[in-house]
Amino acid sequence: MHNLAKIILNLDRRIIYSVVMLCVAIPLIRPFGLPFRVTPEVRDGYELIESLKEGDVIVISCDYGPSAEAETHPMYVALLHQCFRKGIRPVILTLIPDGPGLANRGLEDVLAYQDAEGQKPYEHLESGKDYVFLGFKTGGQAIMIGIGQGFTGTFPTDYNAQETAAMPIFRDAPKLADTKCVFDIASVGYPDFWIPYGTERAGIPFIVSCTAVSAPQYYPYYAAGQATGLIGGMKGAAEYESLVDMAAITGSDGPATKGLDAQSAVHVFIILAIIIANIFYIIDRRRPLSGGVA
Amino acid sequence: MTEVTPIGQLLGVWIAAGLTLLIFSFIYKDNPAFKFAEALFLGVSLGYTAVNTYWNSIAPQVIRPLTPGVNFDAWVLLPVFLGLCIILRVIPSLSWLSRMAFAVYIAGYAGMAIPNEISGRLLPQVGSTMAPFTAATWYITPVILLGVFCTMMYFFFSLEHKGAVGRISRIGVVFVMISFGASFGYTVMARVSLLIGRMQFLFFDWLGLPN
Repeated sequence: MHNLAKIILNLDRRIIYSVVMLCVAIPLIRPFGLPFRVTPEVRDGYELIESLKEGDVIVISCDYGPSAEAETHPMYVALLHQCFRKGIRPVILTLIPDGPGLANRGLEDVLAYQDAEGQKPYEHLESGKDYVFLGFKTGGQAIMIGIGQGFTGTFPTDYNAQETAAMPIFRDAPKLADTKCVFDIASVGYPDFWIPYGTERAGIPFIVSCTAVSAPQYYPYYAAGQATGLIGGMKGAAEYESLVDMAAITGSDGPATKGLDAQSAVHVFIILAIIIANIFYIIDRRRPLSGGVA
Repeated sequence: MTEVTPIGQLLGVWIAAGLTLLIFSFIYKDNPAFKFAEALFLGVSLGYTAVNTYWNSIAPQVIRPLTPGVNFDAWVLLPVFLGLCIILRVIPSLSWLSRMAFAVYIAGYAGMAIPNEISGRLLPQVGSTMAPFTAATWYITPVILLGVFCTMMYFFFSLEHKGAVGRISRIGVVFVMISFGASFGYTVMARVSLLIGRMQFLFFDWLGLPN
């Protein structure tokens, strides 16, 4: 037993990394199809968007970059499908400099989406009328306060350098208070600022979709009703994909849903590793081994 | 819409896959290939940020309003001057000028932040902590109250932590540890998600395995 403890407690980290790699690779190649349930905080966010009427305008703030693509981008794509399918008009912007690339790519991908019959259901949508991508602007909280006074003053042109003043979408919703909600998809701390500087001032609901690492800090806002929905990490994105029914829209599960089996496999391995390491640590502590962990 | 040729797409995928593998090589041990990919990533990120900031902020908000024509706006010179004052901080003999710009910035930010933080964050959060006991919240409201009280007591250093105060602050530590545990669990989930994202890219976009 003590020899085994010695081996386990001195295990080369590369072996652990290799097992983690296998735990990710195997379920991706051969999915298990493990079930998952939709949590109330994700359902609340989804139902708020579902309750909107055709023509309503919402703000999507894409505050994430490539480093958080796996967790946040699937959420953005699912949300755009939901909006365009229901005729909801998104005003998309980003408050971080590495945000425009992914935000624009996601929008282009969804607009060019082709269904199983070869139809492009969103082909007729026009920039400035049915949606608009305003791009990036530095300033953070100042931008939130600025669009509270008017979108076109803060963003005179959109991402494609088109004048925003003449856009029909801003005739119907000239300022933040005229939109129905802010949906912040973030890998940085901007949800913390959207609430006091944006949605609380404008009196509109707020939904936060964030990386898993930052999800715990937003639960107080959800509990206080300052955030109507909270979608945390890849798990939250997978739940949202299932609610939007991405499998029916695109013919296959969304990327977040596909990644959940691998996530579960790694979690099981980590839990087992923690339990096993602690058992051997206790054994080791009772009768210390030469070269063991002190 | 940005058009990418199939060759360009293929090249992009191969470069991205190669760089991902170079970064993964750190798992074995630190090596020059990893250092190269890391330095390249930093350089590209900085370049991308600089170009985006120029075209999305400086060009439309500084260059365009200062170009003679219908959009000319001389007021823009004021924030431009204050911004240049901040840069003068690197010249010791002129660094005093930066204080003027910082004073304007701090005053403006404080004026913007204080009322919004109080009305938009502090008061609603305090209100939520002291929510009335209802049929739906009777079991959770006391836990929140207890957690907030004990945790604040743990961070109250004007009384020695022994006796009743010590016992209360130890309960506070339990709440703090539970909070750290939840954060750690979410952090593990986040890091694994990033690995999954890269592996999905390698398997399906690069190697072309059936998705």
